[in-house]
Amino acid sequence: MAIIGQSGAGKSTLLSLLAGLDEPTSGTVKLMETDLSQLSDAARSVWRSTNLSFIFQAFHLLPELTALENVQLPLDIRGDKQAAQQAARLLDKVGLSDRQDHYPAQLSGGEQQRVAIARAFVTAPSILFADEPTGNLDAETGENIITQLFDINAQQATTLILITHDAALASRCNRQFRLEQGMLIEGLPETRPEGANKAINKGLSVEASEGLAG
Amino acid sequence: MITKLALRQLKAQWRRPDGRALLLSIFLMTSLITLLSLTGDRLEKSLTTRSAEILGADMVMSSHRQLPPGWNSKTVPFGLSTTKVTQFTSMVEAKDSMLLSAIRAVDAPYPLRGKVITDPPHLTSAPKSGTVWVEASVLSRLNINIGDSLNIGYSSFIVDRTLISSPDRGSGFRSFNPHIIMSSDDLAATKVLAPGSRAHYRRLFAGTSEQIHKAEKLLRENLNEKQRLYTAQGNQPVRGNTANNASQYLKLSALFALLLGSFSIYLCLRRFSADQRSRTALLMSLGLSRIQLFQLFSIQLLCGWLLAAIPGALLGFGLHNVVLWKLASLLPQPLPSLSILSFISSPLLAGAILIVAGLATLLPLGKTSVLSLIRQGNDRPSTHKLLYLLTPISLFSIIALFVESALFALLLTVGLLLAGLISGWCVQFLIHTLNQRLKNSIRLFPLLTLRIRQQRHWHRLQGGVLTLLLTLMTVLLFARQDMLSEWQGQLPADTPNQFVIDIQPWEKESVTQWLSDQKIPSTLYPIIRGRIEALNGQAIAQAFTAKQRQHNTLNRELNLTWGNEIPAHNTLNQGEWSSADNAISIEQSMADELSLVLGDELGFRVGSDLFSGTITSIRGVEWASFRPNFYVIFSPGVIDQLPATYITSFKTDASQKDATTQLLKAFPTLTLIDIEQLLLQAQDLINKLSDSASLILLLTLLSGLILVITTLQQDLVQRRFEVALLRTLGASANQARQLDMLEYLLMGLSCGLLTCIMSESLLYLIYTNLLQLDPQLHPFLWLALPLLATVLFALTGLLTRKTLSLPSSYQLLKSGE
Repeated sequence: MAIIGQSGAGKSTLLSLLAGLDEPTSGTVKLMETDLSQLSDAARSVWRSTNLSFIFQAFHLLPELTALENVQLPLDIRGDKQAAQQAARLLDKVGLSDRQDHYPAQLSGGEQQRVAIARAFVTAPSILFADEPTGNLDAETGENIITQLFDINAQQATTLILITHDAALASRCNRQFRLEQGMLIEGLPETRPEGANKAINKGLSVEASEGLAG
Repeated sequence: MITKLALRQLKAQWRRPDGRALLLSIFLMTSLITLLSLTGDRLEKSLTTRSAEILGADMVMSSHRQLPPGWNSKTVPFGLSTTKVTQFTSMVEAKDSMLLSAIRAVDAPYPLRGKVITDPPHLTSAPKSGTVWVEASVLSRLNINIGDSLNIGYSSFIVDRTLISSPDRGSGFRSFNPHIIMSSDDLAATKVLAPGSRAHYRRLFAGTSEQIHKAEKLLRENLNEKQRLYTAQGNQPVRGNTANNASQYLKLSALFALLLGSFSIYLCLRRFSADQRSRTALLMSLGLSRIQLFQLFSIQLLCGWLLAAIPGALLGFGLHNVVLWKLASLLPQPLPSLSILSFISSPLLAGAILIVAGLATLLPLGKTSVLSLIRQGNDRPSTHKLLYLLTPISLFSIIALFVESALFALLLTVGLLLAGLISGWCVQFLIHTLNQRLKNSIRLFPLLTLRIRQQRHWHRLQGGVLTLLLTLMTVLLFARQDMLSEWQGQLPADTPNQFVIDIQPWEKESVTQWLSDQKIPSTLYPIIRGRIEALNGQAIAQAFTAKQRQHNTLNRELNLTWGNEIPAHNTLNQGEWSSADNAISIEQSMADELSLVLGDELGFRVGSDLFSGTITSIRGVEWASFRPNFYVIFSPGVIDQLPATYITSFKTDASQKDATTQLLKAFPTLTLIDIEQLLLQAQDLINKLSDSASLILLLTLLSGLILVITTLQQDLVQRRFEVALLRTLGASANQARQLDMLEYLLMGLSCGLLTCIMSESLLYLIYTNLLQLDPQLHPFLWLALPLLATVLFALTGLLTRKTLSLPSSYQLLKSGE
């Protein structure tokens, strides 16, 4: 699903509430049958790291780690013994198996974001938050990245919550929400051509997103 | 995993300038503190040992009156060992020759510290009853040999051994006479010391420093006016407070280094912490817990500490050896061993500072929110207010613990901070003033003004630190150089370079003749040792105030002389030289301090003779003129008949080098003091001490530069942003560089100028008040210091600066990082 809105509409705030990064001033956030407000700060961190993943606009790779090590990191933190194999598998999926040992500085922007995508999926999260994942990339690279993101997402049956201000990109998701004046409204703005929406709806798992309540 | 990540991060961090600055700060601070504490430890121990060896004991109680026998039993409870010495001056006689000697009657064991060395080596710790140990000059003057006998008072003694050297020689003029040591068992039989006779009674004590400390406290409480107490560790007549001064200097340097180091470390870690924010947020988003985060940073700090503090301590150890090698001739050999504690205390201290600064800067990172990855820039983990307060308090406590005195540390810290603050403000004022001058001459003026306003806080800090350090360095270098060259330069060409003392009355004529044969102009002055006993018929206890009685002329024996006229090198300030009966001429400062006026009558005692003199003139005396100088000069006819020795000084030039050797050959009993040699020794001493001090200061200056580098990095992001903005707005890379260079130039000029002003003022004060030299300006400084400061700033600036290309400027602005 996609959430779209103008700059300053509150997209990032919504994301931070959804992911339990911030607490609402009133009301509760329930995600996958879990009331996040009931959890302590530490418990929420643990819950988040097992169930959620993030992809950021600015990639946020650790410069001193290789591509493989960057992907492996979240599994390492959990103490997963298969970390290296799993990471290699994911890097292969994003087409970077020959760049495993390269450092972020040796990779192009698109490649860096692909590493970030591999890192996001390596923990097999239930929900993946992607905040303007193509914001720092040119149109063509952005397009490739999105295709790859959607492909892996379909394979892993993850709920992808895509935050963007790009209506064309949003229309490629199964469901679209727009954030206007503090209200979350399903559907794209009227001016959008309707057809674009349906064409790309196939690959996404709608069931998985049913856990979302807000 | 955490360890691997920490090590990887550390490796990457080391390539960054602020990572290097952190390691360098720890490294330099540790090496400096190690150097200072090891040197201090050794110096203190050596000087204490040496002082003890000079005193012959750890503590000495001395008096001109016989010490009450009760002293012994009072101190025995502390477990001290003790012995007693009676020292007096007396004529000894052998084979019809007479000689004035300093005689010590001692109890065994003697001494308690140090050694009496004799030839042949002695087997008992004091001379056996009926024998004496005498200095070689006694043998030659009395024309006797080992095994011959000599008479002291009514007793006859066999000369058993030659006395080569001994501690506990006593102080003052007494110790100039040839020395003889006898057993105190024989003292009574000589009948030399009748009641009222002049003698110096000493009781020596030795024990552990704790025992001495306790005994000193008890003895001081019961001390009467005539008694003096000296300890090897504290006040003593011989070496003044050398040990204290040295350790104060070392402590001051250590404090300076610690303050600079702690501040650099704190700033580096603050910068490090700021850099870690997004990384921390990322790691937390990947599931890293706070405990793991804490481990991650602890490992990095631990590694940083190991990497920097251990080599630092080793360098400090090496440098301390260099300093001790420089000072080798001044310290007793072998040197006392080092305590392990003084070796490991410095790295531990660096570790403690690192922990405190680390907690203060890195703890808030635990509160980082993953949110900061999404919303750039508006999420800054706040530091708890308590932490702001706790950090300086803990740092200060660590420092106070190290310098072992909270008050000293507090006073100095406040003093240094205040001095730094004031110089910082002055530098900022100078920068502002200089910048205004550039208003119409450079195109970048508006940008420069903006830059100066932005950077003013850092300019104050950098300026304050650098100015203080450069000032100290300059003062140290110039005071030493000027002192040595000026002092010698100011002496007139005919200043004597040789002193001859102990000329016996029967040698007077021949010595005068010999000197005039050699065409060496000189005047011989008789010396008679006497004491002032009364003023206008009143005893000194009533005639003078307690403070006046402390004056040199009242609390010891004076060298009295007589003559037909006022010495040519004195000036007549008041009254007239009179050769009338009992006329005396006194020295100006003595007249001032004792409130003596023309016409006052002073009563004197020489041995058992009493006589008086009326002041008819007051003279000005140049004490540093290297000529025989006297407080009191009698007119002829009063003390001429008393036994006297003669003193003279003269100048030998290069062609007369052999003259002194020949003089000693002709008159073997004379004592010759080569002033040139003494001056060379003094110069050598000053050079060695100031070399060591300069080394320490140079290292401190380096720490200061590290601090400047650190501060330049604090706002590196801000600077890069500003440069990026300028670049995208159309400024060329050259202009951006020019702006930086102009800033460094302004900083350098301002710091240099302020350093000149401060150094010249300090040097002026030192010259006029301490060294008694004519103050002078140093034009060289006014050129060199601004240049040096500018170069230092430009260098440190260039080390941290990165040229930003146009595309990367766009990138920087776009990414917002």
